Order: sequence, then structure tokens, then C-alpha cells
Amino acid sequence: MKRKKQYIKMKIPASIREAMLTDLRRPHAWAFERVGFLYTKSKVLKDGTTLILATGYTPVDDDDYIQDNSVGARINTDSIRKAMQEIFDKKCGCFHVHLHNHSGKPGPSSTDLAGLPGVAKSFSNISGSQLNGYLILSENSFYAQVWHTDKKTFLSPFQVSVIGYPLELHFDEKLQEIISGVYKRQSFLGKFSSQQLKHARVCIVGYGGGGSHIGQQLAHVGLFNTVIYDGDKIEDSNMNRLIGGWFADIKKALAKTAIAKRVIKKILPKANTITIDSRWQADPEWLQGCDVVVGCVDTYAERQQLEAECRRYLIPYIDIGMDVFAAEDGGFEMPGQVILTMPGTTCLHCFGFLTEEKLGKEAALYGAVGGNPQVVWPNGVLASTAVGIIVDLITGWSGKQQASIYLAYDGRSGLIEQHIRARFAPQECTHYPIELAGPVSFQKI
Amino acid sequence: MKFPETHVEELKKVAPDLSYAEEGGLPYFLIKNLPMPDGCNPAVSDVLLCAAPRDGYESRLFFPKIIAGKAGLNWNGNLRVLDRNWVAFSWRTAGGKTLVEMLMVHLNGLRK
Repeated sequence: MKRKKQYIKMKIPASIREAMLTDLRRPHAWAFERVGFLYTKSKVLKDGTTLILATGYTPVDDDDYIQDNSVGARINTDSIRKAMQEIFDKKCGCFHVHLHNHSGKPGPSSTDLAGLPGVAKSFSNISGSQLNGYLILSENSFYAQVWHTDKKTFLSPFQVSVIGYPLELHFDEKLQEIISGVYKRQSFLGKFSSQQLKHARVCIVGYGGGGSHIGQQLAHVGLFNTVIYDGDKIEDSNMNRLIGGWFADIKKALAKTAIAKRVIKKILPKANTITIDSRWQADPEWLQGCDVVVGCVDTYAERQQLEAECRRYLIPYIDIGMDVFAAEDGGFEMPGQVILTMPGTTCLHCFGFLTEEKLGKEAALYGAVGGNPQVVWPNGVLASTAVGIIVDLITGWSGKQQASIYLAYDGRSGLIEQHIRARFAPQECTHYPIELAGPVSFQKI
Repeated sequence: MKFPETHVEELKKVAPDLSYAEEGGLPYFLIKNLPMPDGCNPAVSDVLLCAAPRDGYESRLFFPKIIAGKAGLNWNGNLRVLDRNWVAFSWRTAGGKTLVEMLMVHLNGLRK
């Protein structure tokens, strides 16, 4: 389903936004404003969405400012040349950045409009298919313009997101409080939460015991846009836990994605539910365009690949899973996990959840890892916890700011609490540096 | 991840169209248009060499699709890495090999 008009989605990691604000607020010896360059990788997805992913920021050197009291800042050709070198070396795009130090949505001054478009166009001469433009920050908002080489015009992104906890989702439309009787009991999510939930897109990978709870709950909460991957059809062994599955579906060998669509549509008739009847790897671009991804998968290998893709496309990744095994006292242990990993911060490897040893042991089984015990109530606990995290990421209702989450579930006691590894895991991730985000570019040797 | 310059140069002699990227802290060498052993179909293929332990293997060689030719190979490495889908057959190598040795050992797996 192709989008009707140009839909640009820009993502900026929170660490880069923080770095930009810190830098641009510094006083300069004579310039009234500071300038920097935001480097990006862009990609056009098959549904027409253009993704622009910020991967790095470089301030303009102090010596590269020209003294000119008639403007906020004037930079010399050396600074532009350095930016162009970076574009050429990294095969990336570039946005000229400066700050209007107030809150609320900034707008370009007449000086900005006179000077900045030319800079963006000049970058386009050497950046190939990578997009360029200019970005004006305020304390809490953005103004962005993207130079579209083919259309020979500047376009505004529909969405500029800061990838942190919570996500800051800025849409190119007036903030509106949508008053609805349906959602009046969740007004604590925030005045603009309905608008945020209307536009955000969540991907569910695996629509089984965990994913089916999540699909249903997100519809109830008013999330309009979901992407669901599952290549399986319902079988009798799914009936103990597949939310929304009917007994009659088994005989029809109904696809799990069809069950997802049915459930969601009955709750939220105007929902936009994209379903893909295959592994996500067979059609990854739907995932790449999402704001949050939840993995409800069976293997460590699948988790590793999902997280790697999410890191590449600057998407928060939530992983849920459970297991049941014999305990020493003759009963059964029922451990589970809900883990949120955010681009730039602690990943599943950093947490020690994924290790080479676990991946190796699993690979040695040659794919015979399925058939683990699964029941509806722990799936529900883990899925509901994940939904709470998703809604908090999108709306920020809790007021919490945190880099990542690792919750351990004990099905025997019913407790869900922070995993001890969360206390000792490194905050900064060395496995997936932000500068490697975006469509891959190999370095020629 | 750093490799001795001599190892990289040695690999480049065998695989001139060579480039490099990392993902998940692991190093990958992309070799384009590498001739496959006799009897393989296709006769030429891109390959992706993971030159560090992953998934219980000391190193791994990935292909864009299954290479037909030698029977009995266990193509168990169907995964996505570096923004693309790859497949690999199960083939154990010893540790401590140079890059070109790794590549050759894996390619030997395709020889009839």
C-alpha cells in the first residue's frame, strides 16, 4: 500500500540531539548563533516512506565563523568544504543545523530562507541519492526542510522523532487534543496521546501466544497503525493461547495474520493493519518504517537478527519470551523476560541475554528448537508489560526517562522485577554504534 | 576489529573486489564476483566472510543463495545480516586461521 503523498520520517537519536543542543548553546567570541552539521543516511521504502536517519553531528569549528554583525552566524567556505568531505567519505547526507533558543516550533528567519537552501542544494551535488537539507532546533521542537533533487523543491518531514525514552514524536500538523468517549478513561496518557497513538506505527513479529495479546491490547488503547509478521496458520496446539483464535479457524487453516486483522478490526474499525504472511526477513521494509518493534519469537538467532535490524533503522526493540522446565523440587520453573533495548544504549548482547555460547548451542540443534511449553497467562503478563512500555514510549505518560529495561518474570511466584543484569550492564553499547546506523555502506579495501 | 595488514593484503590478492563492514561487533568482508569451485552453480557469486566466531562457528561464509553442486551440504545459516539476506552451509573451521585460509577452507566445502 503506497502512501499517497511524499511521507518523510526523520529520526534523531537522543544522544545526538543532546549533543547538538549542548554545542549550539555555547557562546561564540563574536557570532550570535552557532552552526553544525548533522549527518544522515536516507532510504526510500517501497510504500513511499522516505526515512532519514541521523548518524552523527559535527560542530562548525570556532575559526570557521566570519565576523558579521548583520546576521546570527556566517560560516566560511572551509566549513562547507569539510562537511562536503564528510559527505563524500561516508556516503551520507547532511543537514545544516542551528538553534532558535526558545520553546515551541521554530521557523526560519528571512536570513535563514536566503542562505540555507543554497547550502542544502550544494550538498546534493556530491551526495548522490542521499538527502540533504537544513534543520532548525528549538528547546523542544524542530523545523526541517529536505531538498528533493528530482522534484527540485524542499519538503517538510511529516514526522521528526527523537529516539530516546520516551520517544519524542513531532508531527507536521497542529497538536490536537482528540476528545473521545472511548478513551476518556485513559486521559492520563496525555492531552495529545490520541494523536500520537494515531500516527505511531508498531511492528509485531510473531503473532502467537505473546503477539496476539499485544495486537489486541494495542487496538484497545487506540494505536491505529500496526505491522504484523507471521507466516504460520493456526493449529490445534495454538488454541491454548492464541488470543482471538476460534476453534472454527483450525479447520480452515486460517493464517494467524488473518486472525490478527479480524481481532483488531472488531475493536478499532479504522485501524491500518498491515500483515505479512512470511518471516520478516522476506519483506523487511515494513519493519524498517516502524517506530517500535516487538519480537515475540522463539529463538535467540531470530532475536539477534531483529535487534540488529532495529539498531540499523534506529527503532526501539522490545523482546518478550518465556520457558517452562523441570525444577529441582519436582515442580516446574517458569521464567520469562521483557527487555527493551534502545538504539545507542544497552543491547541484548550488553545485557548478556544474547551470548555466542547460547547462539552456538542453538545453531547446533539445526533448527529443532520449537515446541517449548507455552500457556496463556504468562504470555498475557509479559505481553501486557510490553504494551505498557510501548504506550509509555509513545506518550511518555509515566514521566520516566530511562535508557533500557530488563524485567525478569518468575511464573511460580508471579513476580516481575528488574533483572539483576540491568544493574551491571554498560549504558553505552559498543556492539551497535550509532554512526553505523542506516542502510549499510561497505568500506572499500 | 583489527586484522594484520598482511592478512588483508593476502585476501585482496585472491579477492580484489573486497570491502568491509561491522555489525553487532563482528567483522564482515564482502567479496564480490568470487569464482566458485568447479561444478558449482552459479559459477561466480558474491560472498560474505564473517571472520570471527559466530553461532558456534570459528568463522562463517555466507552466500546470497544456495550454491548448487555438492550434495549433502547442510544449508542451515539462513539469516539476515548487514541489511541483506544470506545463506550458509554448516562447515567447521579451526581457529587461528588467516583471512584467506578461512575463505579457502569454506570454499573447499563446495568442492565435490
